[in-house]
Amino acid sequence: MNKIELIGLDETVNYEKLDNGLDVYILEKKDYHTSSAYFITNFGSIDNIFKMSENEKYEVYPFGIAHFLEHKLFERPNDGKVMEDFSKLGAQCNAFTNYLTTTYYFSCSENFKECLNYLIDFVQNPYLTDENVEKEKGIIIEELHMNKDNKGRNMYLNTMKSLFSKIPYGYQIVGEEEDIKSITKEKLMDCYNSFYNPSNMCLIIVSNMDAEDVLNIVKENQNNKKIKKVYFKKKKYIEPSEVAKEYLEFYDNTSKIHLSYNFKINIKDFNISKDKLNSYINILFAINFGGLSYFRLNLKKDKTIDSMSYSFDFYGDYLIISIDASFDKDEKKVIKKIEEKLKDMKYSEEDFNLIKKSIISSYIYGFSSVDSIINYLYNEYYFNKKIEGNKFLEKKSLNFEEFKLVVSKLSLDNKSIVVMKPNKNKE
Amino acid sequence: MDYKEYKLDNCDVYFIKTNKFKSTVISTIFENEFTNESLTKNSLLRRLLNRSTKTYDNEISISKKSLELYNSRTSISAELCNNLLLNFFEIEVLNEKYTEKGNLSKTLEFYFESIFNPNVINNQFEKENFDLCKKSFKNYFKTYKDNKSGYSVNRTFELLDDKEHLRYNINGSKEYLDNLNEKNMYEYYLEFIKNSKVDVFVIGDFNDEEMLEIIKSNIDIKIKRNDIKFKYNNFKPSDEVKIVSEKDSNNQTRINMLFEFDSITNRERYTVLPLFNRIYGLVSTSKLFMEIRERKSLAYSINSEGYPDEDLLMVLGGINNDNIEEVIKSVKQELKNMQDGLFTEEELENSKKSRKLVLDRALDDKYGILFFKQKSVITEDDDLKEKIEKVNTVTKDEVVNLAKKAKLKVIFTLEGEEQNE
Repeated sequence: MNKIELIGLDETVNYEKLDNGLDVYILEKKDYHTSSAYFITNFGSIDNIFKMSENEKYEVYPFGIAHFLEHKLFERPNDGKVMEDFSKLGAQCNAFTNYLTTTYYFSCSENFKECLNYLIDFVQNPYLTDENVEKEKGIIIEELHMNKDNKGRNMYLNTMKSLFSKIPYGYQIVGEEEDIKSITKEKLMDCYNSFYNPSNMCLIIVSNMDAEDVLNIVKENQNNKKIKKVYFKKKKYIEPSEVAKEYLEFYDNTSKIHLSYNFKINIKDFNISKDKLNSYINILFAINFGGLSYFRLNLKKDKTIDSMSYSFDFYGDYLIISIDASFDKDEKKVIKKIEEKLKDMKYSEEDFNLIKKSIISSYIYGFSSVDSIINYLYNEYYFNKKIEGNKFLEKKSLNFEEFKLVVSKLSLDNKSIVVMKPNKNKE
Repeated sequence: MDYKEYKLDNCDVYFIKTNKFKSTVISTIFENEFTNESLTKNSLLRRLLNRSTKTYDNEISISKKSLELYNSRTSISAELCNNLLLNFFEIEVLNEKYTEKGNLSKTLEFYFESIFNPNVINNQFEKENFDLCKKSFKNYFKTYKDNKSGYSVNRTFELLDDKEHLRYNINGSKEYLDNLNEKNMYEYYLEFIKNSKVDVFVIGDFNDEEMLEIIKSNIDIKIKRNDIKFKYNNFKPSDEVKIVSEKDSNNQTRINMLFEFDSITNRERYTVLPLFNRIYGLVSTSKLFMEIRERKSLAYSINSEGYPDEDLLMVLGGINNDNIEEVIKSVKQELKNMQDGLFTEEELENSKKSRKLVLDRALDDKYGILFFKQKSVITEDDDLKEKIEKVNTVTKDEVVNLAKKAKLKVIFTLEGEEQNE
């Protein structure tokens, strides 16, 4: 097993790639009472176009199929239920689907070996029938209705629609009603057979057992299974650099106007790691639009806005930065104010160093409970497809000169504006 | 883990010593009885104290100070615990291994400044910050209905009988807001400091003597000991069931059914109720989930939440409009089944394992340990270790007896629009 020392945290992650291609990461927490494991496949909601042999054409599967499959893997023969089985072992289990992955996980304080084996086994032994696929559609459509009542989510999806014209980040992860209704057992099994192969999967475990013993449980489990090699190829989206729509407006059940001013930035323009770019953008926007911003404070004081925040995240080759504001009226005025400030962004070395300190400390705070540790490791894997130990040093090495260079290269011309207005404002 | 308690002149101090975590948390609780008006004042006060202090007199200087202290900032939150309003002043500070020496004492100085040195000029809160806080509070009431599930839960509690404490919104009522000004809020602050009962909790790896000295010199001398006690409801719930429905333009209908337990014991509240709730509706293997979502496909979300300090249990569902009657019928039927003992010993055993896992997880999280310690001090309930030991002593008869004490009090629906198939 390789040891990856998480420098600055006094923690070590043990890593091994099994013969069948499964990546296994194990972090020991000997003095903890509970353990947890994430079983991840690199199959998410945007992977709905793929082919299963080299000579075939790409086939388009319904949106929402990764999430549908996540639901169906909880089905067992003879009315058995995965959650009940975990409950009998004294564990809790669940799953989630996002753009790039589907993840199944449990948490337990006893029967760790049984739980880990069961997690791997239920994910690797699907039980799908035409009847149980049909029955699930009503439940998922209700989940869709619940999601559509979430204004924050509606704002987010519209923001993604305004930014991406090819990669379907703006679609519901659960799919739309017609997508859900068109899903069949056969289509689900195509996805399963392609993407649920160990060579496309990863196990992340935080446990109070010895890492060697944990790895042996996984190896023994996998050695007992005949796993075929598979071929699949996901269609790579060619996403244009330009935003899809520069302005998008919609109405929702809200009492305030919500505005999102977004930038789509190609990370290839910057010759530094994602993590560093992330930190530098954080610093620039914290100073100008976040906690250290007099601009924001003054807009609140003169009642132009109620609140303002900023966020940033990576989507494939793009970094998306958003400035979000809510207010009662006059979005044109708010947009104008933001644009004036964008032309006049300021920073100082003193503020740079303060926020750098906070970035380093947030990293350490993140390693407290089993849940927060495994979430951190999962996020590392989600964005980088591996877990590295040098993040602390990377954050420590942030410097003002490099920051200034990043700021000078940052072009904020490629932008979209999304406005959510109250239904009552509809004429 | 090493627990220690100190009775100072004016407050009680609880230390939980552990080197399991990379940071230390200091949490001071100010406890008070409340009225709807004092809840409103208290909510505004939390905003005022959160936003600025005398030394750090706007949101930017307070943010800068917090960054300087490795992102440590006092968080001020509140919760209702039956007859008590609990205000939590909390700060988390990295162990000095990860910072420079002296960071703990500088952070604690900042912490006490947030509580005891408000942004006051001439015996009034400073006007500019006050106006910003009041505006943000007004916005809370303006956007009150935007969060549909939060709104429907609050509306359900509001429909409880007059004497029930949980019928009050923790943020009070907007009718009192207009009369609040810089002067009367400062008067309220002085009363708040003077009349609260105060308990201090510290969890982490720290020097006892030093910490105790800091608490003595910064808190104990600034407050006085008040005898405010947590009380359980000692009245019989009426037989009346309130049924209220509101319309909304959402896709989904929110349905909440609130039950009250009649004359229950402490063992039933804190040891039996968590198990009853797991079998009935809390988790995804529960009766409600299996029957209403999995077997009948009537809902995407259906679960129940227990409120042991208030003797209440709420069933919450996100359902299709057409299914309201069917869901109500099923929720009642599943309760009847619990009262008739129609659950297995195996289900009870599984609920014990599930409860034990929650308690074990709390032991791995400093905020979990803190939560259970604070609750045990305020309600004089068992501590975490005792809770874990008692889980396995619960019998099926106890769960059935508790189920029999549940009385339906409120059905609230926030009805969505018709959905086209």
